Amino acid sequence: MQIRLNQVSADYQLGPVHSPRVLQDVSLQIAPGTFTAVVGPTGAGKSSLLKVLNGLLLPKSGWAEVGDIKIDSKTSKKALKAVRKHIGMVFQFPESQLFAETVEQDISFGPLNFGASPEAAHDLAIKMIRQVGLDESILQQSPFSLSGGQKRRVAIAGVLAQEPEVIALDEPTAGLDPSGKAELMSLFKQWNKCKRLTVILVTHDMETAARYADDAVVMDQGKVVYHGSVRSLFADSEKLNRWQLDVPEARRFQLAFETYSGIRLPNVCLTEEELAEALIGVGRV
Amino acid sequence: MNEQIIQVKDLTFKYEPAKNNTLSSVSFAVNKGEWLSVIGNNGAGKSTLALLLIGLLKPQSGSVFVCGMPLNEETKWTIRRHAGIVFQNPDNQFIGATVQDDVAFGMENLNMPVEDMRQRVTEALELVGMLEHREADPSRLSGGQKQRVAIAGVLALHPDLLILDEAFVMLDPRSRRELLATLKQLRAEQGLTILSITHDMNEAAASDRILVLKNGSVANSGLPADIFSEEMDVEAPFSERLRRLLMSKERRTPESYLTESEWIQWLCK
Ligand SMILES: Nc1ncnc2c1ncn2[C@@H]1O[C@H](COP(=O)(O)OP(=O)(O)OP(=O)(O)O)[C@@H](O)[C@H]1O
Ligand SMILES: Nc1ncnc2c1ncn2[C@@H]1O[C@H](COP(=O)(O)OP(=O)(O)OP(=O)(O)O)[C@@H](O)[C@H]1O
Ligand SMILES: [Mg+2]
Ligand SMILES: [Mg+2]
Repeated sequence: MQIRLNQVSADYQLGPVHSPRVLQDVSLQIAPGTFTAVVGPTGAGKSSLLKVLNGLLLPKSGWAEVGDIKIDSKTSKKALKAVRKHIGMVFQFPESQLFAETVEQDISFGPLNFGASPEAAHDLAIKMIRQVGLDESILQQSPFSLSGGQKRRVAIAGVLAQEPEVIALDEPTAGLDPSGKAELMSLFKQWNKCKRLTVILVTHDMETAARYADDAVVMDQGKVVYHGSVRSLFADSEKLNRWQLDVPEARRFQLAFETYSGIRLPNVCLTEEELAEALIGVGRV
Repeated sequence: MNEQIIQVKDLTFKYEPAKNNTLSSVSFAVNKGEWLSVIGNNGAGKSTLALLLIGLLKPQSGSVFVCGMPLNEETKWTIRRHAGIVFQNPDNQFIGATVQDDVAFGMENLNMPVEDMRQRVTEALELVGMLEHREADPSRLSGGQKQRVAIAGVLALHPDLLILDEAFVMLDPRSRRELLATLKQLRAEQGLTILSITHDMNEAAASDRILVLKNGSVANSGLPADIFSEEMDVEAPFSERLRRLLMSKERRTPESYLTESEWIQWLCK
């Protein structure tokens, strides 16, 4: 499913006053089946960008397109409902999307709403809760009696259960323990590869961006300032400095090693696996 | 020397009588001026422990001493003047209509002159880089901005003990490092003690000591270097992950955990 933003500007209405522009003239095209990381400093407009895709924040000017549905300042509620069927969204704070009495009701809400039978929804809930690394017994608990990381996992299970074509994830790994983070990111990657799920991932974690995403979008003060491959972004120290982005740890280690030793490794290393191979290649380990 | 600011003995807690223990016989102590990281899997009991430390939950058995006082119904208000907590989700914590009101709110029962209060609000917002947003509605901020305001609210109280429950997860890496540096400085200047619950192993590696919680029990506690060498199923910081990876490839590696700069020196030997 094709996603396009054409010269989108947006702000939040605060009673009679408007907040300053949170998105300024954003044009962006995200191809079906891609895995894109959206990065940039606090307040850059990353969450706002996702809200436009999901119809939670309407453009003041310009338009967005999700498949063949167009979103602009006049889009109706009904059209927005159709958009939400295609785009699954995991919010920055998972509490804001959990609402039901039990975890099972929460996860099966989407499927039931979109016409699944109660049996199918039940089976799906069991399947999804396992996929996010939680025990089946948690299905009968209240989502509010869960730990932070468990809530995050339930929110993700609920969105995956809707089998969306596009998934928009706002800091999905915040609050996950390290193994949970690796498992869930691999799961998204697998759905991206096997089911051609389009993944849009907002993250401050450059390790996650470098390891799982193919493309990167950099946002700065409401504007998209870069859209290209993750690898060429992280190879470009000058750009990273300009936008105050960190390099992934493997790359930082590589740069420190190269400076200290005077030896250059043959390629840009974004993960420990790549760094290990490069160090083996130059005979250091 | 080594004055203990937290002492926890045999702390046991469960949310519902019919359920298993959420925490079982947890004991540990934290020295004044120490930086302790608490790590453990989702659901291990870390946030529950934090709530017990400031009396928001009551244990089934065991005792807690904070700032030299036994924690109970009478002392918990006094203790909360000395011990500030930043919760896992900042949304649960906002009360004021503007950022500055919100930060000031916590000081209201400290009985201090309004001028001093303003001064502290300004200082705290400055420390977290949110001064320019002082008039904003805290519920209408970005995720990272909310988290900063929550931290400012606690810093304004000038606590002796700071309890952070994953307080940095929504911050960009640079802001995270800056805030950690600020806290380190407060610790050096004012003897602030920090108990930080975190999944960020770089943060844990930079702290004085790590406490590992597993299924509601203390599984280990020690210097970061020891924890990362001993607990092979605990995710390690980058330098250690590289070492483990090369070991699995049967390559030449340093004998034990090294920091990044030690590693680079080792590579160039
Ligand atoms: N509901 C709202 N009402 C008014 N202004 C808002 C609202 N939500 C966000 N803003 C403002 O819009 C700007 C962009 O916010 P956004 O949440 O998109 O940032 P972000 O890039 O996601 O940041 P973070 O990394 O901190 O989550 C910020 O200046 C923020 O204060
Ligand atoms: N209010 C509650 N009522 C009942 N059970 C709860 C409640 N809060 C937490 N629990 C349960 O207690 C256990 C410990 O939860 P806690 O929030 O302390 O975990 P945590 O270590 O902070 O995890 P995380 O890393 O995910 O934040 C979990 O199994 C959780 O489901
Ligand atoms: Mg955000
Ligand atoms: Mg927690």
